[in-house]
Amino acid sequence: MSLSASSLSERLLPERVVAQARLGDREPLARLVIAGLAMLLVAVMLFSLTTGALDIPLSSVVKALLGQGEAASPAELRDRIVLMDVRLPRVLLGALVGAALAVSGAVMQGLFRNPLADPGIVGVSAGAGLGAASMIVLGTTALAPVVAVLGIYALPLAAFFGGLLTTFTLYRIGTRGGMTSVATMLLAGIALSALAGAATGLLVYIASDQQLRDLNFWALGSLAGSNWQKILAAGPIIAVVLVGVPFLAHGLNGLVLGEAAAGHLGIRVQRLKRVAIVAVAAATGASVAVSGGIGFVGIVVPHLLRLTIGPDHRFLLPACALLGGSLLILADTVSRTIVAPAELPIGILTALAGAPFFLWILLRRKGLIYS
Amino acid sequence: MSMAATPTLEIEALNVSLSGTPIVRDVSFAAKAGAVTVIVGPNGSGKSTMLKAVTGELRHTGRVRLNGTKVDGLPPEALAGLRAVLPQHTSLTFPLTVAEVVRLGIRRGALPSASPHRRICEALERVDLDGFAARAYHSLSGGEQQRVQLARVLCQVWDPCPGGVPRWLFLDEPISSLDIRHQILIMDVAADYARAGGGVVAVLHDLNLTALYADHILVMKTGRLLSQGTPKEVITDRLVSEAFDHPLRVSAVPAGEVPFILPQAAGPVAAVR
Repeated sequence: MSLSASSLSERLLPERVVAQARLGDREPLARLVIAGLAMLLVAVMLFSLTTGALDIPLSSVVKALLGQGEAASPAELRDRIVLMDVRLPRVLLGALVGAALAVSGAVMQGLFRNPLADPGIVGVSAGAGLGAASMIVLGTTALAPVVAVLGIYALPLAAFFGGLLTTFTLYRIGTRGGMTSVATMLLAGIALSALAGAATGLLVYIASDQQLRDLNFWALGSLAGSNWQKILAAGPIIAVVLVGVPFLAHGLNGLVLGEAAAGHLGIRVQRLKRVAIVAVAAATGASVAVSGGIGFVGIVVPHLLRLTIGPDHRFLLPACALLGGSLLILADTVSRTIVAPAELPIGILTALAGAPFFLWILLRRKGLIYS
Repeated sequence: MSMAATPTLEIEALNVSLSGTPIVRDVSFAAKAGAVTVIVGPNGSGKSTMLKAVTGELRHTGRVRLNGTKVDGLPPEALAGLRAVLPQHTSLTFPLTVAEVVRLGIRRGALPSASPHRRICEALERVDLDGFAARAYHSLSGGEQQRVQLARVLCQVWDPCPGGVPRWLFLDEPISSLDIRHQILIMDVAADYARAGGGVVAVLHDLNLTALYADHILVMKTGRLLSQGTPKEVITDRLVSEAFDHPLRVSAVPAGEVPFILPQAAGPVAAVR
C-alpha cells in the first residue's frame, strides 16, 4: 500500500501537500480531501435533486432552493412540489443516514480496534431494528404510553436503545483486557443478530397488515417514504452525534496504540469507550429508525478513506460523514431510477457492492482472523 | 515520614495479584530523578507487572508517589505530562506512518507551533531513525518499531526537567529486540535523560548493560525485592547466581571499575568440558 501520493496524483495535488506527504504527514492531504468531499456532497445532492422519474432542470432546482420567484407554469409548480416535498427530504435524509452509518462504522472500528467492525455486521443494526419493530407493532398497545410521551421520537429512541443494548453486550462479550478478538466479535454478532431477528420474527407474527408493510420496508432498508417528519425525528440525533464525534477523535487516535498505551497518554479510556458506544448506538439507531437496515456503508467508506488519508480520526470522521452521505445519495439515486417507475430497495444495492468489498478486506487481513 | 531531598518515585508496600495469584509481594523502594534505575530479575519475577502497577495500568494495593504526589489522585492528563511509558509490545490497529505514530506522543497544547513536524524529526533522529518519517510503521522491523515507540514516548515528556520538576520515563525492556549498537544508543538516550534531571526506571534483561548504565539496581525474584543498590553492591557472584538460580561469575572491566558477568554453562555441559 502506498502511503505517499502516487505519481499521477502528485501532478494533480499542490506541491506543499505532496511535500508533506513525503515527510509522512498526511494532514494537508486530508484537509484537501475533506474540501473535495464537501464539494462532492453538494454536487451529488444537486445531481440527485434533478434526477428521477421526473427530470427537473438544475436551474429550477437552484431557483426553488433559493426560494426565488413564483412558479411560472403548472409544470414548474409540479416540479417544485416534487422537489420540496419528495426529493429534498429524501436527499437530506440520505445525507444524514449515510453520514451516520459511515461515522458509526469508523467509531466502532476505532473502539474495537478492528477494521471489520460495523454496526450492520455485528448485529447493532439488528438490535436497533428490534427496538424499532417493537415500537411499530406494540406502539398502539403495550408501548402506547411511551409513544404518547415521546411522539415522533419514540421510534428512533427505541431503535437507539436496541442498538445500545447490542453494542454494550457485544463489547462485554468480545473484549478481554482491552483487546477485541475478531472471531469472538463476529460470532457474538451473529448470535445477537439471530436473537434480535427471532424476536423481530415474533413481532411480525403478531403484527397487523399495516404494521407488516412498515416492517417489510425496514427489513430491506430504503429511503423511500422520506419526509420532513422523518428528518425531524432522526436529524437532531444524528446531528448531535456528527457534531460531537470529532471530540472523540483524539482519544480514538490514542486507542490505536491499545488501551493501556492510550491511558498512559492521558486519555480517559473508560469514559471514551462509554461515549463512543452511546454515539454509535444513537447514530445507528436513528438511521435504522428512518431507513431500515442499510448495510456496509460503515465498512466501505472508512476503509476507502483510511487508504487515502490515513487513520487519523480528526480527519477520518468528518471525511466519513461527507463521503458516506455522498455515496448513499448516489446509491439511492440509482435505486430509484434503475427500474423506474418502480424502486429497488437501497439495502440491496449497498449489500451487492459492500459484501464483496468486505470479503476483500477479510482476505487481505487473513492474519487477523486466524491469529 | 521522611521528606526526600531530591524528587523521587516512592513505592511503599506494593502488592499486585493477577487472577488471584500474587505476582508482586510487598515491594517498597525509592528511585531518584537524575538517575537511571534498572529492575532486573528472572522471567516471571514480577518486573513488568510491578512496572505496570507503578504506571497505573494494573490494580494494586500500596502507595505510589511521584515527585511527592500520590499518583492515584492525579488526573490522567496531568499524569501524562509527568511520565511516559514504553510498553514491552505495542500493536497498531491501523496503518499509520512512522511520523503519525510519533505524533501521538505529543500532548495537545504541548507545542506552541501548529506543526509538530520538527519535534517528530528530532525525536526520530535521537533513536537513529532519521529519514523514516514517511515509512509505513508496519513495514518496519521489530527493532525499528520499538525505537519508533521510544521516539513517541520521548515526545510525551520531551523536556526532562521543566521548571525544576523532573519528568519520568518508564521503559519496559526498551532494548530487548535491538542490535548491540542500538542497545547502547537507547541506553545513552536514557542516561542523557537522567543526566538532564529526568527520572528513568527501566526493566532490562542484559546484566552487563545494566551494570554499565544503572545508577541504582533493583533485583526481583518471585515477586519480591531480593536486593537493591549500586551496580558494585548488587552485581556480585553470590547475588546474581542466587537471583537467577544459575552459577554466574562476575569479573570487572575495565580495571576493576564495572562489574561484568560471565555466564557459565551448568550441569552436563560443564561436566563434559
